[in-house]
Amino acid sequence: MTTGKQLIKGNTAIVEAALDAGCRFYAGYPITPQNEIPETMSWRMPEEGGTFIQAESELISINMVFGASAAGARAMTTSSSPGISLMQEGISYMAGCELPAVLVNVMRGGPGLGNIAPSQSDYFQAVKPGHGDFHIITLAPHNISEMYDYTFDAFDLADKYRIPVMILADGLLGQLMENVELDRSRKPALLNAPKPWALTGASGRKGQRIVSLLMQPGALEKHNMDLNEKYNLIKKNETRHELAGMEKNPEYLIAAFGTCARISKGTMNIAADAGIKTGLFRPITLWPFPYEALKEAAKKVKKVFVFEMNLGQMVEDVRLAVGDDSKIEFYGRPGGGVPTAEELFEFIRGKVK
Amino acid sequence: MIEKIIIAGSGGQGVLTLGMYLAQIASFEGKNAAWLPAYGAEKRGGPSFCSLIISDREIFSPVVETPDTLIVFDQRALDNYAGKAGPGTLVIENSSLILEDRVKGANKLLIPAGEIAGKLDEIRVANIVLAGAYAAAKKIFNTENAAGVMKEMLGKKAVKMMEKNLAAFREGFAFASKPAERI
Amino acid sequence: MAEKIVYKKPDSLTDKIFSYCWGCGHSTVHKIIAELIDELGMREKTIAVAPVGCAVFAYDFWNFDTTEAAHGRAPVVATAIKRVHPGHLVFSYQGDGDLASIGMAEIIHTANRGENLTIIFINNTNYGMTGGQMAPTTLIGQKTTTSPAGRNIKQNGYPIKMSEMLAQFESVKYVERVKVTNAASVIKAKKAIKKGFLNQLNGTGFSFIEVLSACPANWRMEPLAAKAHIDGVISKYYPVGLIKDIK
Repeated sequence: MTTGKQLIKGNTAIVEAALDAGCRFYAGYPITPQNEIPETMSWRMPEEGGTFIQAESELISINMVFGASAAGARAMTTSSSPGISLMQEGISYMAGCELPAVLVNVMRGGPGLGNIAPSQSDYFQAVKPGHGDFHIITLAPHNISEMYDYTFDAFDLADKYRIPVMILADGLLGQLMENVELDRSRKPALLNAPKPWALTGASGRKGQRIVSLLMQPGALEKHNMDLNEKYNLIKKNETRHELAGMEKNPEYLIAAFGTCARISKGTMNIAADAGIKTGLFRPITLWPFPYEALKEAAKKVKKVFVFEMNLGQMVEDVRLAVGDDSKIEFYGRPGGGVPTAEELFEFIRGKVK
Repeated sequence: MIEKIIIAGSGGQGVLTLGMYLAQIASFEGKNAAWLPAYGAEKRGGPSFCSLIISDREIFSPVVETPDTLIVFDQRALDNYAGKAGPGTLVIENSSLILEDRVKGANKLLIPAGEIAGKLDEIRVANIVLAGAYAAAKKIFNTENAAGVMKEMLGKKAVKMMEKNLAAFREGFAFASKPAERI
Repeated sequence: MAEKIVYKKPDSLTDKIFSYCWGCGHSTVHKIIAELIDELGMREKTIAVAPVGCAVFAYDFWNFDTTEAAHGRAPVVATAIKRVHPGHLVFSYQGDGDLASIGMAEIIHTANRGENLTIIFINNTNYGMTGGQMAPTTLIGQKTTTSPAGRNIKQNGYPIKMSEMLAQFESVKYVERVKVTNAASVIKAKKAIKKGFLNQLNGTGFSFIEVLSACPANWRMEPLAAKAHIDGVISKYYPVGLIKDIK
């Protein structure tokens, strides 16, 4: 090859990232549009000496990941929107038990069986998961390089904070094949970090437990407060975003994540040609959401355009960050609709006349 | 440069492979490529579709609305996607499976890819005949690179298959190079 | 003079006093499991999965590594633990609401995959922890808090015989139903569980031991009457004995 680039599908990039990060346990159940992940895992995982199990439901996938993680392994499962709904029970238990794991949601349209087209329908169930008072870290890639990089990073993040980390992709990013240069020389920093909490057999010690049931008066309240301290630490250390185009002092800001952010970059070019200067704010961590950074960026512009492939989910966090609803203009496409860069530009032009 | 392509046909015709092949050549030549399939009920004979963008700049939206080139494998694909063609779109049609050409306008190339592949005794290489025709019509690739990439993609598969594919590419290229065939 | 130890609490039990109700079978089964793990020398290489139900607190009493699973999911949690630590003794301990109702899919697929695990199934014919509601195993006519007129076949179907059902799977190697109503039956139960553990340690495969266990509090019976109820009534519908044993 004349370049170091290789053509790789988003779903496949996730598999390779997980294996490079030392993931040695995968359980998954078929659902479109993420089937390449379990299909590729079924032969790649054994090649790396790990365990692949085709689970019989998403409930089984997530609970297998619970078990593997409790036993100290780096573990992952992947699914798409309806399957993630089923996994919410297990995600809550893992949050309660402080078990690390990487979960991938290749989103499709909903509600219900919906369709299999790309969508950002699950922002809510990613950043406001399950029952109980907890958070998980959510990373939103917007190209194939990031499908690899964020998945790779997710394993260290999960271990560092003993927390489930979700990669929130969509059908477009899962199915898309791009030629990218992946940096596969990185070593996962925490792969060999000790996990004294893991269940490995009580060798030379008393038996220990991994539980989320805390019935003694005050015990759960204390646990929730401890978790909250951890969440505050994550907010402080791990909040990530991309801010583009601000050097040109734009009058308008676009806020979008994932596929919509990618399309919005095309919109910025079209707008620039038409003499409208825009910047882009792209949250990389959806939880923790980069409120402060967005607040600062929004101060410098007249309006914030929020684009999503849903009818308004992230916009709620944008409102909290910006603090001035009159500045916010939302445009969304639900049900598998993917906007074009031109379509988003037309919306902007209509509002700035 | 930016080149947006839509390829449509039926499952089993090598529609997705053709798109991936063109993407691999573009990648080999240092360009950016973004290939996106229509996915869904996986069924032989059902509609098959992919889009491809080749560019020397960053590719933002990988979704193709109006293609620079539309490649259709059969009548159903033509019927479904002819409407996507704009005034500047080159339409490459596999005339072996098209009875009624609905495309109005001058910029089209009819090539009997099925018959050409049939003469090579390997109907499965009809998609590569179309790849050759595309390469001749659009001239965005170096044909030697196209052959090199094909060798890499076929990998360990039989030498015979390689020969058939290379022949298919050459035949398609030669056919599309004859100005008379361009309607 | 050297002490002669004739009996001691197993190392695999903590010092915590069992908190189960009077006459409940859980304490007996917990204890024989702990004794067996001591006897097999596996305390430092055992990982157990506790259910949701009364026995969720098993980890308070067992002095080996234990996790708890969401309701019904224990067999698949155990599957993953065993796959990660194939040399360890891994078992799930589940009640009838957990295993036979909400966890039906998990137990069936774990059995069908033939995981090299031991499953201990405590059947007391009701949901103990939540206050004695009807379970899939509740006997015909049995009164519970959600079947006050007695289990009705027309509405609720027949009590599920998990052991007989799981024995149908080719990959299931060993199934036995036991009870813990008197010394002799406890000895038999211990033997069955030991066989289940040994099957796992020697790689034979999936073993399932169903234990008929008394729930005097929810049956509204005195402990002795509850045990007699198992001997005289419950074991008529759920006969004790070996159901399947394949080497």
